[in-house]
Amino acid sequence: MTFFELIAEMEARLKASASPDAFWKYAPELFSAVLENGLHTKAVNGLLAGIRDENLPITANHTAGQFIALHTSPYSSWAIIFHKSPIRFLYLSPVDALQVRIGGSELDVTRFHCEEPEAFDVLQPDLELIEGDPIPAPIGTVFARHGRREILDWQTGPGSLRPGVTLRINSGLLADFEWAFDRGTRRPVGLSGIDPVRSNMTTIFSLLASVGDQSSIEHLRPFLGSDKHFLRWHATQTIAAIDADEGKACVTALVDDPHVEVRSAARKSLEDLASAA
Amino acid sequence: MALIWDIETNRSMEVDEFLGHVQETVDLGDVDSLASCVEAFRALANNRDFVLEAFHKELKEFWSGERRNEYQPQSIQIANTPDFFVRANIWLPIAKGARTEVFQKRLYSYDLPHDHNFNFLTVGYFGEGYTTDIYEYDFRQCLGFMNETANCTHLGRYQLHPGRVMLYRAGKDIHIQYSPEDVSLSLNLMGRTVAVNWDQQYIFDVANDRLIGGAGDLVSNRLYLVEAAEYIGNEETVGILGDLVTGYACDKTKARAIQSLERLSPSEGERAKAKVSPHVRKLASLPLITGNYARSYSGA
Repeated sequence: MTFFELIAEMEARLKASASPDAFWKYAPELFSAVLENGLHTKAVNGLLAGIRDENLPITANHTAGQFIALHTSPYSSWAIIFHKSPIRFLYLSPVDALQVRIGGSELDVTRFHCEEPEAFDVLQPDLELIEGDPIPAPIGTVFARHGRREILDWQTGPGSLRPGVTLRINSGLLADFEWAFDRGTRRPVGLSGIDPVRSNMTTIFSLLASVGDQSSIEHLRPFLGSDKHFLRWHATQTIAAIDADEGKACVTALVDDPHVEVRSAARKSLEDLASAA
Repeated sequence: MALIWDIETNRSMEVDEFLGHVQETVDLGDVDSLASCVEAFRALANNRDFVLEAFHKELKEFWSGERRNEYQPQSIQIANTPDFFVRANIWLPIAKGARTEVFQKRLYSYDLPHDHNFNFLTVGYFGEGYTTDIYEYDFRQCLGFMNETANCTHLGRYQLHPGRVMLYRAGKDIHIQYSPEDVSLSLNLMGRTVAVNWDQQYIFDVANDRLIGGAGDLVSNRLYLVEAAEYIGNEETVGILGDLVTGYACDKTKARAIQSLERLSPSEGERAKAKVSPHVRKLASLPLITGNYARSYSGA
């Protein structure tokens, strides 16, 4: 079977399964099969052959920095990652993952773990990462990572000029936000939406707020009912920037919002408005 | 240097009229021809309706699930033809000192000296507009290796305020955009030329007059993939790389393929080197620039 046929088979199983542990049930076996048969290399060879035979354009969908994306879907994503300099923050990304060194410089892996956050969309400043000891990652040894409570920090040895290279499969998203932890304090310092399209909507909202045209309000209203709390709140702020009265009505509706930070921000806004009046 | 026009006019143009004008009269690969449509582009920027409508449509289509913007986060396509496209770019101010300041700046390409491998026109449409330092260099005089001297010359700092039109020339103009003071929007008219498949875009260290990275363009990405092959390749990879050395139409790709072959199979690397021109052999002896500097983000 080819790399993509194997993935299609695994994803069919994931789609059919209602179990939250489906990734752990199906992915390890497939990951081993890919490794044993060098199918990831065949996938890269497919891209190279595409350049040779059809002048295949290598776009940001294939690579955007220190990785090559082999496959991306809502059920799994596969990438070859080139580890060079350490990243500034440690990211708790809400995806389960399997990762293995496949070449390049030697790599050490440090496993950090924490208690599972109560909800990924509300930062818990007191949640602390516990740091394990760095251990070498020989070629072929697979490391598993539970996305709700673990971080794997891959680093090349000091003075390495060449990157270490890993193959990684991620599960589908388990939550909508990832947390950034400070390396020194090992406490969370921020959260970011990991669905770029939804985040891009807030960029458009910022523009519409600045333009301040009444006609934008009808296009913003549907987002007041979004399942994403940050879209509900940004849409409300945008409407308020365009029309203060409309905005106040929207803010008032959010005092009973299911998300604690939205409720809190709505109440604070109404208090500020009352004291300003 | 990049060409700049401040045209006072009340004339306004509809999008379809503008597209027809460009289609009929402009060769986007030719700087003089592109410059000939500056007044029409300026008139398009006086049309205050279509951009807002495009963003409203974006929201509507997102909400209805019809379409997802697959372009960069700050851009939407206004019009698209086989030969060129018009897009609107949002430029958000970045809060200084924020945790994500560096990431945000990379996302918007702020503070990042870069050139382009296509000519394009841009006009300020809304907000104060970003300021930009402009430099000049000659792409044809560079080989494209890390820390190569760029011989760039600083030509001044300008602001893309509403109504100002600027023309950036492929392989000549370098610019650094800075975070604007307020939310700003510009329109771009960009051609689809075959050159984007063969001419690389670079990131520069202008203080030290050096090339320091690729810009995530098609050439830089292709070179990155060929580079990656040296770490994970097998016998089949060796064969494909050998084919690229002998048969592909891009000298830098040939050279990078030789470098990967030298790692994977030194004897095949030697054989490949013997088949290429002295220019490709020279390129293969240099640390060629690959990839996407802005996205190789370490958060440092």
